[in-house]
Amino acid sequence: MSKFRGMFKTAAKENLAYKFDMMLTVILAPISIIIFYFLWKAIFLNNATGIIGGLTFEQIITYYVLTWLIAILTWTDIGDIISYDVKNGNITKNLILPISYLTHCFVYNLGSRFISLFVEAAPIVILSFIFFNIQIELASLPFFILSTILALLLNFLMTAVFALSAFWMTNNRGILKLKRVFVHFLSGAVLPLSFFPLAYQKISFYLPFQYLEYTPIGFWLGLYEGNQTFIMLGMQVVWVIIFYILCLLIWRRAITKAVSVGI
Amino acid sequence: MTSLKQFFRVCRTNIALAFEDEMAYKAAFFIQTLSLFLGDLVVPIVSTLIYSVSAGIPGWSLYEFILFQGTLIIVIGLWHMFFAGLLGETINSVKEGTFDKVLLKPFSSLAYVTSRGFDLDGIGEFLSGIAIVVFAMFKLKFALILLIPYVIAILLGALFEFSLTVIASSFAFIFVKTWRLYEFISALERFGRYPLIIYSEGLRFILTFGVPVAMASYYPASLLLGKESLSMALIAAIPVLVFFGIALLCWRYAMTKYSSAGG
Repeated sequence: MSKFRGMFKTAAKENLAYKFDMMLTVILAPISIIIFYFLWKAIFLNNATGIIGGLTFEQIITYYVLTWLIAILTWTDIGDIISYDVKNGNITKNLILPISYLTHCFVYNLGSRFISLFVEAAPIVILSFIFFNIQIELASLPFFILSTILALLLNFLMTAVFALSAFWMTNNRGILKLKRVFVHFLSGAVLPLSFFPLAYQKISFYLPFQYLEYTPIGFWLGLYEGNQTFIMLGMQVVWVIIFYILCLLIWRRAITKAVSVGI
Repeated sequence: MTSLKQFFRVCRTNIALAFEDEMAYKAAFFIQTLSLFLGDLVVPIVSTLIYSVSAGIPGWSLYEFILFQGTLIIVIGLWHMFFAGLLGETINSVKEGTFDKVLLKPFSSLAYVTSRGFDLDGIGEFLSGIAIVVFAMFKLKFALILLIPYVIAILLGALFEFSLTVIASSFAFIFVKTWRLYEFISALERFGRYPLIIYSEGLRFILTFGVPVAMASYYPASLLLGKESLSMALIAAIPVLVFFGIALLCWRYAMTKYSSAGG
């Protein structure tokens, strides 16, 4: 355990060195939110009803602020790290660590998110409460936190699965980018799922994407009641397990590949 | 005159080098281009979803808005291909101390570094923008003759984006580690993602005459669709040229401030 604590601390300290860089997000996020505010104000004024895609104006602004919050809290650079380590052969150095390479990366990621929670996420939420009048369902806050942690795990594992393609390809930037765009879109990070065609809304329950964004946001907004709360959390856990197994399987094959080329 | 000819030869060589570089990994380049191409196609899908549940942006029909977004993607693609590399080239060469060599060349330092930053990755975005615009054009009525000012306005839009990059790169001389300036640029660009109508009067004025982001998307699209007159677009072109002038002055100032790493 002390190994993990040490790594976590190092990651947190390392990220603290970039606190001014991180604070830039606190300036950039509100700019995006302001533009979004103008956009939806115009769209709502142009609309006869006060509800679009099942959401009121206040809810949609809250939704957008939350996409920022989730993006910050579940952010991972595992894609770039794996690609970089494989390309430069650094991966061999990491293979001799007393803990697995992916666990090492995850603890590091956790450390950086811990700092972001205070430097990036908290100021954005506070500013949004003051200026954008965002709403919160306090009773579901514990579920929101739990769901966000699961989303972080899922995002990490899913990105790792795609990033491991680096072992087979010389340059996997393209694949990672494509994955980012489509997963971003399908997870509800661009638009709430209630804007999507009904068919997709139904299928999305069985797909992993909405559990990265839409589900944690849903908890904050209090969209889930009774049993649904546990069904959604359960689905998140199921997808985390699936991607964990996938990750291990691919990792095993990837490592033999790395050894076979002699690095 | 001969030096201009020489410079074009250098540009050609630099572009050819960039091609060779990418072609070393043909499959990776193909996937990268394809993913940028597909990634941008998400943009019109998002707009279609918004328009499917609401009346959309006042004064802009769905296809008009798609044309607007496609235009912006073309501008970004052009910028990505020809100008975006400038910042990275500047930061790297200042850091490594190789910028001194640039100063020895018989060409303008800005033109030379820009030509070295040529990035083939932009092609995917550029083509995607063209595909989106052509798709929208089939659904819309416009006077063919207006395509001429449309293209000119697009080039002016790219000039504006270039100016922003020049300013960011000039800062790179003063504070060497300024990668996050990129994010400032993209935050400013975000204001250009939607038609001016959504903003307040004051903001509209600033986006046309202060930091003329509107030239990157709003003015070309509005000209083509007859939403803005030619004379208004001509007036809006002036701040773009002034902005470019300011960018050149910034670069010149940065050159006087540049003291080599001493290598």
